[in-house]
Amino acid sequence: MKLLIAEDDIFFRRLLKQTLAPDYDVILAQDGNDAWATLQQPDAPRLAILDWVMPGLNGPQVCRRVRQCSRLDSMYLIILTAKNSAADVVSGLRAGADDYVTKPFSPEELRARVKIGERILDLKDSLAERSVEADEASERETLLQQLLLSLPCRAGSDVNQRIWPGVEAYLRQGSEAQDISCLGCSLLPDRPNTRVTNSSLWTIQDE
Amino acid sequence: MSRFHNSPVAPYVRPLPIVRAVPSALVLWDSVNTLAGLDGDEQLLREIVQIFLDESSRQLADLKRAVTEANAELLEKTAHRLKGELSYLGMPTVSQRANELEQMGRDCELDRASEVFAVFEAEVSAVAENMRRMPGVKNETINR
Repeated sequence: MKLLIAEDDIFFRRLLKQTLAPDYDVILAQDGNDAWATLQQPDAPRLAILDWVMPGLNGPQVCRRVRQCSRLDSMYLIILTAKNSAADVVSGLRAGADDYVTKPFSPEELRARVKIGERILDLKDSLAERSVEADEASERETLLQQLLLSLPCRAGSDVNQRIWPGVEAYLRQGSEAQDISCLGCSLLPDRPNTRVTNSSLWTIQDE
Repeated sequence: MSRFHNSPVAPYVRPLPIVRAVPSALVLWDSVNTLAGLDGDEQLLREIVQIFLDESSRQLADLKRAVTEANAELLEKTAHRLKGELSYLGMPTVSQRANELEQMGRDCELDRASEVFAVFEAEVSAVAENMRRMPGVKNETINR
């Protein structure tokens, strides 16, 4: 996985790269503007460690820009800084950072925190895949409902009368309507309050 | 046993040279503790010590210029950088002095900056002397 490190101090740049390069494809930026330009590129890293104090854009400013850009909204951002007051931590997180690491940091702790970011990105990817699958399932269900709506009237053959309760139960799962019936049945005198839904053959009767 | 306990890198303790405005105290660099903070990675310790030695002379020169020219922004920026490095290298007292200079720069209150810088410069130089004795580190003197 690609990881952006934005740090103007060569001391910490070297330290961060050495700490994380074994596990990540590390891309280095020497200031905030360089970091922002890197994030604009296609196939940019989705995980970034941003120093707070940098020439050009500082870490929180990069965070704000990322959060305002819908294309980058799934990025995981870690602010790294010697600023360690509670007010600074809150300010960094409010700027849009997902995590906040103070200097001096333990390499092991930093690796663990970056790993959390990697897990969250994996979860976001998984959620996005599930969302696509859910949309596809919804489309299939709509199609299935449309096919069911083409069934003959329940008042027809014995076979139709046997399958109707199951069809009604299935359709009722996706509807708040109290009664579902075919148009033929709804036109019977005892069912005056019916309305046609997405089929000329079916009605859903509200409570 | 952790790696740093087996480390050949010993702690370097050296009395401060007698310099004007420097308190009569010891400036300690506990390399064992610093190594522990790097998860026992001796190679990484040597690398960052070397970077610090290479960079600190320029940073001290920047600080000196900031104090001389009353450049609060440069003082804040340079002191902030040194603060982080010194803290990482296991020198909280010297790092705290850098923090003091950073705060002066941030507040644009440079009345005592010259005095604090003199002490800070001497402390950093003393620490650097200790670091140069570490095996595998280039032994060059800071240009002041």
